[in-house]
This record gives sequence, C-alpha cells and structure tokens, in this order.
Amino acid sequence: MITHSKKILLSGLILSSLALAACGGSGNKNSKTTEKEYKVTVSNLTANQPFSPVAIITHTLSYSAFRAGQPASVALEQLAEDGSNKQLLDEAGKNSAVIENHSGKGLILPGKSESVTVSVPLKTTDFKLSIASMLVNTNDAFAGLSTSEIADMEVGDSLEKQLQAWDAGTENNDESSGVPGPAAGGRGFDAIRDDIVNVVTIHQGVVTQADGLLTSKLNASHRFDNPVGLLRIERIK
Amino acid sequence: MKTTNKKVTTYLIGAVIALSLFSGSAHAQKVTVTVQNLTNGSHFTPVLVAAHNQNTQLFKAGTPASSALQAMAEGGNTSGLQTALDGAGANYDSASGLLAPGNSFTSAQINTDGTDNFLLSLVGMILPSNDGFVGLSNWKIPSKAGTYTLNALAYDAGTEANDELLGLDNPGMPGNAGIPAAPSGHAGAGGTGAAREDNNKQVHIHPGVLGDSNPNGGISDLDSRVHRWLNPVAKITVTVTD
Repeated sequence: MITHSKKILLSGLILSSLALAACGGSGNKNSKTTEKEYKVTVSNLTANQPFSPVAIITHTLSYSAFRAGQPASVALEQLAEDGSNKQLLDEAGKNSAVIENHSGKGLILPGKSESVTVSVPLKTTDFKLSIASMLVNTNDAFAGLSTSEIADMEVGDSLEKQLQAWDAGTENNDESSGVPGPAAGGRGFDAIRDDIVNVVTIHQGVVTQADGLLTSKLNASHRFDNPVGLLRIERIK
Repeated sequence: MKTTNKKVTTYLIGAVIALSLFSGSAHAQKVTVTVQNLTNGSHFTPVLVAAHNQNTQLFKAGTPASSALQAMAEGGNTSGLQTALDGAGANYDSASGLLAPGNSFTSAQINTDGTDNFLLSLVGMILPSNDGFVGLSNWKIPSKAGTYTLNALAYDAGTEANDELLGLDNPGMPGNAGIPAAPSGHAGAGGTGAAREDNNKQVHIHPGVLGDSNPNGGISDLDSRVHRWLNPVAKITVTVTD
C-alpha cells in the first residue's frame, strides 16, 4: 500500500486525474469487504482452436447455461455457432438467480489465457460458476463447465478444473460452410437445428479433410482431444 | 459379510490411528508410483517420476517447454530434466525401458522425508509421435497415507511439427524433424508429412496422431487404425506411506 502511494506521488501532477480515479476505486474496496472475490482464469490448451470471448456467470442453483442431454437454449446456440456470448449474458443479466455475468475481452488463442475477477456476496453460500466459449473452427463446439466447488473455497485456496469440449447439438457438423472461424470463414448463427440429436453432448471431435472428409475445410491441426482447456479459480478475498 | 465388516472396522481404526499419529508431520511421505500405459498402440519412453518442491516443475500446460522437456518429448532423453531435478534437491526415479501398451512401471519408493518435495510430476515420451508425451504436473502429494489413482493426459510439447514421418535424419535430436521409432510396429513409409509446423508453441493437449491407412505413402507414416489415442493415456496409482 505504501509503495503504491509513493508511486502515485512520484508520477507527478500530470497523472493527478489517474490518482483521483484510484481514489474513486478505494470506495469500491470498502463495499467489497462484504463480498468474496475470485480470480477466474481460462486457458486454451488446443492445438488450433481459438476460443470465442468467454462467458463467465456466477449463479445460484436454479440457473444453468447448459445441461448435458438437454436441448441448448437459443442463447447458447448463438455462443456455440457464432461465438457471440451477448444473448447468453443478456439473458443471464435478467435472471434473478444470476449473481454476476462477465465477458472475456476477446478471443483466447491456443496457448493463451485470460483472467476475469468475479465477486459474490459474503452471505451467498450455495452458488456455482459456469463458463462457456466456442471453439471457433467448429460448427457448434464449445468449452464449458459448471462447478459448485467454488462455493467451498477459502481465501487463498485455488482450484483447477479441466474443460471438456461439448457439442451444442444445434448444427450439423459439416466442417465447412457452418464454421465461422478462420479455418473456413463460414456462417455463424443459423436458427435451423439440423444436428443428429438436438441435445448437448460431449463432442465427438472433428474429422477434417486430412482424415478423409473431403468436403471439410479443417486440417489436422484443428483436431482436438479433451480437455481442451483449463479453468483456474483463485479465491483472493 | 462378517469378514467384510471386520475388515472395514480394522481399516477405520487404522485410519484413526494414522491420523492421530501423523497429523503433525509435514511432507514426510514415501511415495511409490505406478504408471500403466492405457493406449492401444503407443509405447512410452522410460518414464521419469519426481517428487519436487514448489519452485520446480517438469512442465506446465500453457507455457513454453524448457529445452530439457523438449529433449524428453522429441527423443525420450530425460538427462536434462534429471540434472534440473538434482539441482533442485528433488527425489526421483525413472524406468529403464520402454513401456508397452497395457504394461505398468512401478517406481522405487521415493522418500521425501526431510524435504519440501510435496509435488509429484511425471513424464514419458509417446512413441510413435513427434513431441507427444504422457504427463502429470505438480500433483500435491496427500499428507494422508493411502492409495490414490489418477488419469494422465497426452501433451504436445509444442516444439516440433507433427509431421508423423519416420526414417528422417537423427529424428530424436531436439530441433530435428521426424519420429524416432514406432516400437509397436504397423508403421509405414513414404508419407509426405501430416503437418509443417505447430500452431500452438506452448505445451498443450495433444490433438492426437492423425495417421492414414496407406503404408507406402499418404501424408503420414503412422497407421490411423493403430497409432491413435484418446485421453486418458495412462493410469497413475500413487501409494503414500508415512
């Protein structure tokens, strides 16, 4: 704290507006004494599947972003087919069971990570963290997880969870015109549900042209195995 | 039924005694680690199993491979990693030979008494692959005695293109292209190369071998019906004793 203050003083008058902004921030700090705070980090461990801007949602148990074996919501379909988390987060924002919703800043490229800080009221003891992010060089695959283990964490605890690739079940895996990522530059969202089953399942992986699907615009580098990513949660307050 | 009940009771009493006797001792365990190769057609090069401190790691997903890890992942050479472990005061053991599909390697008992080596890691190259390896990183050794089972994943070191070609010049040398060997056989020749570079140059989850079904050409010298794998590629059994 002292070091930080010195830095602001040393930085001089030109940065006085920034120093003011920092003062404003301290007001937030007081209010946050009534909140638990977590640093949530998503890492992309695929060979060549950029992750779309991640949707991070904290919520009580009556909300779910997706459920294995159940049809995807249109909002999840938007995320899984188009990489757009807007509708999922907008709807979450209107849901009384949702505590907070956050969007990542942008794509998480293979080998990269992004961290977001989330807050939960101290008095909320039964809650989950859910995340979802599209593998953009696919038709409707997304990395997703919902965990209640976050609720058991003490300050200083950290937790790592593996992210599996799910198939939203909303689009036929043509690996071509329906793939919006750089591998194919195809269409994003399409309301038609033409997958084999209209439910969320573990993704069976991509075939690619290299493996004999001649109409596929994907190559060997776009193949993936689980886990496709890593979720790290650190309770910082 | 009676026998089972007795066993459970004995076990419970044992656990209570163990807890009360050893709850105060910190990181003073002996661990024995068994690695079972769960793949169908891939071997592991001699597996290196290490208990080390929190300032040491063999690898970390999402970060670049060290040159020592690269030598292991591309050629099965663990000497660089062992030198690093020696420097860090780690306790380790390694297998003396290849681990065939279905086979297990059990380490010597690794004694961490008097050290802060409370993290367990292991690595072994997957053959045939360019720079694939089975790995476990920084698993916290439980303070409670017992037997623990874990799944291990296949990683790509991110240091070499997965060309899936055999018979190139000194392919196990770090930086050289190609696969050193296919110990399970069934490999072909004359492939044109399944990849030219790694898009993700950090340690990441291996996308898996591609292979093809053409033994005298195609893009890969590996057989897609033999040399593919899916995670998990190994079962790890850790026995912790006080």
